[in-house]
Amino acid sequence: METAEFLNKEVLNNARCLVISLNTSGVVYELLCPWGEWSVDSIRIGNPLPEALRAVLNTTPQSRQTRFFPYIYLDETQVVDVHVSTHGLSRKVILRDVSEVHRAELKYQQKAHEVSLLLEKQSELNRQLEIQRTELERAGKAKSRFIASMSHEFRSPIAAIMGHAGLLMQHQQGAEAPAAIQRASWHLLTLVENLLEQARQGEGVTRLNPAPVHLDSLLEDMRNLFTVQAKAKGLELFTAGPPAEIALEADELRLRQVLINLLSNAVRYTREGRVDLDVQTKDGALQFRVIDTGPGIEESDRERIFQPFMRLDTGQQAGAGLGLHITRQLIDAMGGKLELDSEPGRGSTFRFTLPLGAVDAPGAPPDLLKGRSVLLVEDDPDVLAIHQLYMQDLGMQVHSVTSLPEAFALLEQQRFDLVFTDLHLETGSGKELLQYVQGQGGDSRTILCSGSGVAANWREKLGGIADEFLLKPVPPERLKAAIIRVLSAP
Amino acid sequence: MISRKLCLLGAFAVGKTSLMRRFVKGVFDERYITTLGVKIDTKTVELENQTAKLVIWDIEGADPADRENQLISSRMKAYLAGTDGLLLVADGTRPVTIDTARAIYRWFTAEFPSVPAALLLNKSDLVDEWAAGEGCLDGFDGLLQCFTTSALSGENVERTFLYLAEALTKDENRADGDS
Repeated sequence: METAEFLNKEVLNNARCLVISLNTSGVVYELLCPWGEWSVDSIRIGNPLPEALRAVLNTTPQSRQTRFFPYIYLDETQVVDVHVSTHGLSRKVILRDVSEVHRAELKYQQKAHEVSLLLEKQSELNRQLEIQRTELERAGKAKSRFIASMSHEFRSPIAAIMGHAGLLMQHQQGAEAPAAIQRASWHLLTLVENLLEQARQGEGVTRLNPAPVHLDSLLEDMRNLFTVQAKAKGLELFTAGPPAEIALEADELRLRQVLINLLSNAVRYTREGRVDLDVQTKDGALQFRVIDTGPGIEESDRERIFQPFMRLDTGQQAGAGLGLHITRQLIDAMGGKLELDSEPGRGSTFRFTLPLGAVDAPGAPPDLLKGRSVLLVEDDPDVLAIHQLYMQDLGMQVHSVTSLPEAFALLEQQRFDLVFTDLHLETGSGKELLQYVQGQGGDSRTILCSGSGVAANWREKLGGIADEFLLKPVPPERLKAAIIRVLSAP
Repeated sequence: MISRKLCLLGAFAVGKTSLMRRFVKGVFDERYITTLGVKIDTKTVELENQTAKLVIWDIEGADPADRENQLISSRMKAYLAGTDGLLLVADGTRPVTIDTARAIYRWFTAEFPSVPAALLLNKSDLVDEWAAGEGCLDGFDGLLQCFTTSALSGENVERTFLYLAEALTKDENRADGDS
């Protein structure tokens, strides 16, 4: 664009312009301000141009063509568009003051960049979160594997201890030592289960293994478990159940865990008076209440006590502080809700309800189990001995082996009414054995037993290869109920 | 005295203006103020065998979100005309700005095949957030040198400018002069 033409346009636009003529040495010899009053301090007749403009000139070849450089900063606040043209040996520079429009555009640009930087930061944070999430997931899976194997490791010896203590109690009626071992084992098992439950929480699901529960024997067990402890503190312990036989379907191990947690707390924190375990039907459900005459719980503490690893400052130090937290979760998982009534200085009542089954568990004909043959496969000799004794007590003919090859060999020779096998055997998986039994096409019934917590979805997981799954330790009543169930099923 | 034009180019907010201010004036300002257009400053430097004037063009930043063929605006092209060297600047804590530098470099080497360029990974003071790792120099074939710099602490800033100045003044027969 020729200078005159450019200027005409700029004048019409009311722009502030400065026309600078330079001699061959680059010194200003003429300054024109065609519209209004505008001057730049650093540009004077007789002086060279300021550095920034000289740099622009040096960049431009000496040609007749006008060169245009938008948005050149003269200083922090003054910004110009620069036109450079050459006329013979002299050059002309036209500055147009664009500070105002530049300021407006800069303001917008600055905001846009700040927003972009924030978005960039956010997306980087999201990326890092995603990496961390993947790592956590991996760690979580490793933890789950560890827990599964640990739970197996823990349950088997506890099962052996409890089983043998139970046998001793049968043979030595009234002996205190086996009863003490039995009690301590239940507490140990509950503590282990609490810890495992807490560790499993990342998986989000509490696995349940519901089966008919014999409430009378459950209450009797609780009484046996806590009487000594309560007596030692001078407390009275009472248990009361509903008058009639009721059908409760629940994960008995979990229900015991819940009651042991609640009763442990009640006995631990009550200094004088009594602790009651009261179970009654209420509105078609079964209500459990653990009532104590302890110090009670202040209103402000009533939510806090359900936090993990939380203990109220009562001077008592026993326990991991997991009991109530786990208890509430287990009750939730079982379809109930743990509630607390408490009056400081008077005592506390923890209560929850569980849904009742519609039909009573079928009673077994007296001779259903008598003489029935069972193949028992278990590689832990202590657990094997216990299960064998329980089954013999039921009048069954037990053939026990400790390895898969022995089991296969026996199955080749004869048919069994029941095949009862451990899942994780040193010589392979109990699943293989059950698949073999299925493949034989006979009418043998099957029970799979394990110390690993695969219980909740075992049916889907194990693909229907067993008629029943039992989680160790298996108390004699549960073993009996399970065997009756699978053998009496059509 | 010979004079050389040096352009600073890269994504926005990588610290181009701060690097120039640190080099020319020896100061640093924490605030981020976008450059829209170009700021030009000069510094006379003592090199091994001569004194030289560096004319530094601090060019507005490119937007990493732009498509590669839109990264270099017509304004930037006008500013780059006649440059003797390029200082590509990226933020070592923002990998996306290294990608932008790489794309600019690809364009630049095609348009100015004989002009040397160096890469500055700036903000080396932000050690905990540093993200430029292995592979960040892939796609910068023919690059003169890569420096990690900090306009905040001044680390490597002087050294980088002088290194490029030496490289640009090696050819004694170059036309020079300052009108």
